[in-house]
Amino acid sequence: MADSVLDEVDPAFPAGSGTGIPGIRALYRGAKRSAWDPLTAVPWELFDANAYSEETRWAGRVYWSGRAWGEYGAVSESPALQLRYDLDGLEPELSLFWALRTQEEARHAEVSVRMADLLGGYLDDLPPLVQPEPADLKGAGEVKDPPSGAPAPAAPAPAGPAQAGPAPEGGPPVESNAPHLGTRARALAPEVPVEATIAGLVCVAETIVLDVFRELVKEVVDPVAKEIFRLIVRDETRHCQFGWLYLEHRADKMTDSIRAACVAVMTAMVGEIELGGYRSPWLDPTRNPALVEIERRVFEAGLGGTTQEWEGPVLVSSIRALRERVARFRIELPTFRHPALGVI
Amino acid sequence: MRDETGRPPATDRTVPFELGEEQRYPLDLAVRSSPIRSLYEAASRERWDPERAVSWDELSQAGYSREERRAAALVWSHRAWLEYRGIRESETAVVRLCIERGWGGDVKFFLASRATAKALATETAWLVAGALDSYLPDAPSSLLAGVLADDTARRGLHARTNVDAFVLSQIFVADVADLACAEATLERTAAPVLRELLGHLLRDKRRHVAFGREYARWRLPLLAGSGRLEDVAISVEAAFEREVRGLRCPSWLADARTEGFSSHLVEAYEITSRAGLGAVGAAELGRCVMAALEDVVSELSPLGVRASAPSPLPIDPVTSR
Repeated sequence: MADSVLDEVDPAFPAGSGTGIPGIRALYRGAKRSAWDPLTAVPWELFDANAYSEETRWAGRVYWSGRAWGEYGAVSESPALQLRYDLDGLEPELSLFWALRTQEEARHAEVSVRMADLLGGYLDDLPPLVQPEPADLKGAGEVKDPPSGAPAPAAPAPAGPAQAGPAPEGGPPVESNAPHLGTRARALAPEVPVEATIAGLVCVAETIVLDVFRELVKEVVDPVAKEIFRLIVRDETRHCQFGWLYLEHRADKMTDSIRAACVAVMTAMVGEIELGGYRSPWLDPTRNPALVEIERRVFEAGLGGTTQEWEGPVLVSSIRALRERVARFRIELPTFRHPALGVI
Repeated sequence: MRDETGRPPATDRTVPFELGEEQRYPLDLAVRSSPIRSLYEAASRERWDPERAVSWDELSQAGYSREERRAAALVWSHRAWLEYRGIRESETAVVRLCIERGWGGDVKFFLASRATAKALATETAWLVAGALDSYLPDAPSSLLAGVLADDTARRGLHARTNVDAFVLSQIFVADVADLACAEATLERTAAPVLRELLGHLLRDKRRHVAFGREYARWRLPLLAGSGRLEDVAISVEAAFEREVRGLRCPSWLADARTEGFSSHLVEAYEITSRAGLGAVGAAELGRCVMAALEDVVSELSPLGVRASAPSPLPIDPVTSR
């Protein structure tokens, strides 16, 4: 077997005219019609910085910068899947939809940067997180350095390094040096079926995010943040539908080996990435307690964020629902355990 | 086999493929090029939907002969194949640029919008082909397949490939040639529905060429003295070679003079041009592409890229018989 799908020869022609999977062609059409302009679709003029304390603006700045990093991950990694669709000679509507999806994720990153800027300035990395004291803050735009002589705390993520671990069975190791979901690596690895990559990225990671954001929109009070989340939810709904539709399309053709790969990737995505705190730091509070507190402050201010008490039930419900949903394709996910959430 | 730089080319499969390592943080999403950011914002404003932009019934019901419809459907099928590869080009460039450092967000966001535009252009071509007759999914037994299958993703993602060279050769050269042909096509097109569609496509294509120009102006001065300008020149000439082998101009295909698909495609361009259904004839198409490639040479030369224009091809041997 080739080391990379890029060892295969380019296809010369698209495999059809984009009508092979009608449900996905419909999603593509929906994406065209729902396209929005980040400059005008969000009521930026409604943002009132004075409505928030300096500490809250700081927390919001960190949170929304982290949102931008997460959205950027989709811009950085998942276009590789379009290349895989092409090289595998898959239905071209996958590529058409994916092209629009990449642009939607770019919009999500763009508006997240703008929101961070409104709150004091986009941060290009996780700052050394010391609990900010109001007297030490010179302004919402300042990044606080650690006290002289103290080492900067290691910067884990929301978008920080996914913990490298042994390769999930049937899949390549999550990239150990990169703070990513491993989508790019999986997309280009010929031994990882496309179904498994989509199952992990879309049917787990994006589905959980969508379930959380659908609830979060109800909690967000700030009108600018609320509209941003509403637009993201609308786009992500289509993104998730894509993944589930594709698995449904492939259900009868999936071999035991492909199903095993789906199980491996989905299990790793839930157990190691999601429950490991990749997206919500409260799931691994020892890694960066300051970040947990930041997200709480942002949540209580109605700017986004999360708390364990609020998100825990949503997350558990989401994981149970996706396990039930994917079982229709004879993909059986294990029980998960988490110190705060118990048995899922 | 080694390329002109002495290294195994990215397409050499005896040498393992190398994907670079991304160092994402600090994640620079600042505006690094205001002109490119403006082009990206224009793309967000200038959204359109091929399905809704025109009255497709007008095209289906228009009174063209069967020969004209079939010829035009073949031409637009060829166009679909070219536009579809544009998605791959754009996504390859996005992935590659995200692995690199120092490009900010503008270029990546713009290239994501180019992928969208290519998706819409592919869809447009499918719809036109289907409305006139039927879409042809491939080119049986034609050398065109070999020209189209040019290892875009492997070349673009390979760590040994100079990313600026890839963007300027694979994307800028293609976009300049594409725009030149599209503008000439609009002048020859009489069908109102097709003129409307070409108008939308042209707006996107002009933006793409503007991006390439801004990219060159921004990046090439940064490469001065590094030896990488030579890489760019080599890659640009390789892109010229792809065009000259018949990527866009079917009469340049090596098998265009023999009876077969390629000559059939050439004839289709002639018929479609005469009918005003969205094409120019082979000779004019050749002149457009050649002029476009010479324009690229002229534009890049002051920026330090000394690419040689392809030798003028003889008057189209197919249509001159």
